[in-house]
Amino acid sequence: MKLCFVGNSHLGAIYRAWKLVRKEYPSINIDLFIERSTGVNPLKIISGSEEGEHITRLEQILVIKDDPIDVDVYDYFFVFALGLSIVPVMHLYKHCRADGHAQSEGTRLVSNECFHAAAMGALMGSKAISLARAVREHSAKPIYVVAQARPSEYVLDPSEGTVSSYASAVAMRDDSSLNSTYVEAAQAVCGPLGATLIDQPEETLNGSLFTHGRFGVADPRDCGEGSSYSIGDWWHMNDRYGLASLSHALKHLPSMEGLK
Amino acid sequence: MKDSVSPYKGLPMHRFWKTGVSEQTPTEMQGLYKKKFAISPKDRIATAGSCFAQHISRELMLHGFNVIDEEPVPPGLSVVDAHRFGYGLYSARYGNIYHVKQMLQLAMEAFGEWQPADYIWERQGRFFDAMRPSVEPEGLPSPEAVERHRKAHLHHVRNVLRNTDVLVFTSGQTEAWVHTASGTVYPTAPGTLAGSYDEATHKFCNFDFGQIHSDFLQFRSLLKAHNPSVRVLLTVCPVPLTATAMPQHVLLATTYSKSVLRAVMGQLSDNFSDIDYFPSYELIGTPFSRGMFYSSNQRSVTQIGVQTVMRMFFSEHSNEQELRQKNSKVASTLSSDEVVCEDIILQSFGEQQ
Repeated sequence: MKLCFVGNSHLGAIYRAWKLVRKEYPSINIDLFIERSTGVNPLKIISGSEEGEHITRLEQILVIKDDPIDVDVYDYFFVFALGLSIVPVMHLYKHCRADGHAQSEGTRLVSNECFHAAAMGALMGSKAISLARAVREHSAKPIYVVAQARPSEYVLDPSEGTVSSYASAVAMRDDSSLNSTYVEAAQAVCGPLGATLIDQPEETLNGSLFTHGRFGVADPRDCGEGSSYSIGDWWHMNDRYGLASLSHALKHLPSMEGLK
Repeated sequence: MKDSVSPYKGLPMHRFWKTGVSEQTPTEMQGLYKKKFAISPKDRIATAGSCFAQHISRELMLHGFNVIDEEPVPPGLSVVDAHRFGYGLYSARYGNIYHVKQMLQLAMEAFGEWQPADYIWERQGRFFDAMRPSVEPEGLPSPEAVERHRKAHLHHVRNVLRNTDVLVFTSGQTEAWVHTASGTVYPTAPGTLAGSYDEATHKFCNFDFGQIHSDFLQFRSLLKAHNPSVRVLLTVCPVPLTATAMPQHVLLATTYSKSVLRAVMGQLSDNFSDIDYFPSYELIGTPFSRGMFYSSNQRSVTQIGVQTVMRMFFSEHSNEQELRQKNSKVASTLSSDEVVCEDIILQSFGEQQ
């Protein structure tokens, strides 16, 4: 069984986890394609005839390998993060409050319907959905969109700055509603593509908006210069999360029974 | 014997129909518009009015003019949804303002001098702001929500009116539906988007020259009281009426409507140095253009028509060097050419017959 994993830096934890457990899955072969954060090449689809063969390939989007992704050789596609996360919904919340939210000075009132449409629009514009759409246009194989982990609970530690909307959401008790909006919107953008949304494992969640700190790379015990905590990396997860997420993702495969 | 003298002798070519119109190409028209005052890219421009004003607003933004956007598109909202919710169309989310009286009432309400009557309309358990019924296509869950949203909106309208250097206002038509007891003018007929028509509550009104002129003067006074240096650029929407409530042919009703508006705008421009008239109506909607700027329904203005009109505007107001230097922030909401026009919904009533 050949799996294609495509993602950005958030795929790193999965990559490390896979190296640890790959022997436990002898029937599974995973190719990982990771977007470089500083890359410039856009996603391109190569479709046509080459040496008499009909081929369809996703030219690698800034990946670590040089070869394009040949969509025909994979049984399942997993798209990791690539903008499919709660972050754009929280960005929206920072500027706009729906009727159902607690109102705050400096934010604009929008209707619930408008807020939901904006959340959907933000996720629809993510690279994850663009990639899933591109795959779907060239393959009928199952596609799973694995959402980026919610930020570490330590995102609440800074008293101000760009992440202040998280603390505000908790203080205003809007966290649960925001999470519902996010999940509904994420499912709504995956659905028309025939893609399945895989949210993060339940055991890694701390409330509605956060990942338990123990799964994140940021650790308040290490706040030295240049540490993940000191630079405010509340977004990337560690190997422990990678193992949990990988296991959770593979459970969605219909034919997982007996593979391990 | 003394040679006869004609007052027309020696007048410039554009004063004569043959040389000014017959021999001109509509897309290359010269000399139709001479600005009364300059509008620089630094001027804060507010836009409001009938459907055609959306084109003007969009083109001004695309050309780097400083169009006020008091209610910006929420992050993430797609272009289509933004327009559906009334974002990115005008300087605030007031939807189309077809009537001068509507503009006056909006300004009075924003400055706390007036309140609309019966402005919360219901449709299938959802509630709509009758003063801008299209901005929430699915309505809001309660009358209280409509009040809350309107209050927030009026705050933004106040900011627009106080802060603008130039208000570009496109008047749309003379026919309106009015709340009889209070005189509240609605942008759409009750029962079109929401609410329900009741002849005991609502009446039809076809504004005449005197009423419109007087309404604009009152609006100007109010605006100047809060923003003394503001200037106004007036236009008349060249889009014909979709339907008329007058007992006459829609072409006659359209001609009346546009003629009255054109006359009012002309007199205002003649009488005030800080009011200019921009002849988009003449370019699009007169025999001069031979109908070439209308699409096949002979109502919607084509993109070429919009571009021709705006070229005429920019030939007088554009400072290319300044525009190039300016880091023009063009919203992503500008890519759609579609205009939002509640008026078109009336067409569906005609089709049912």
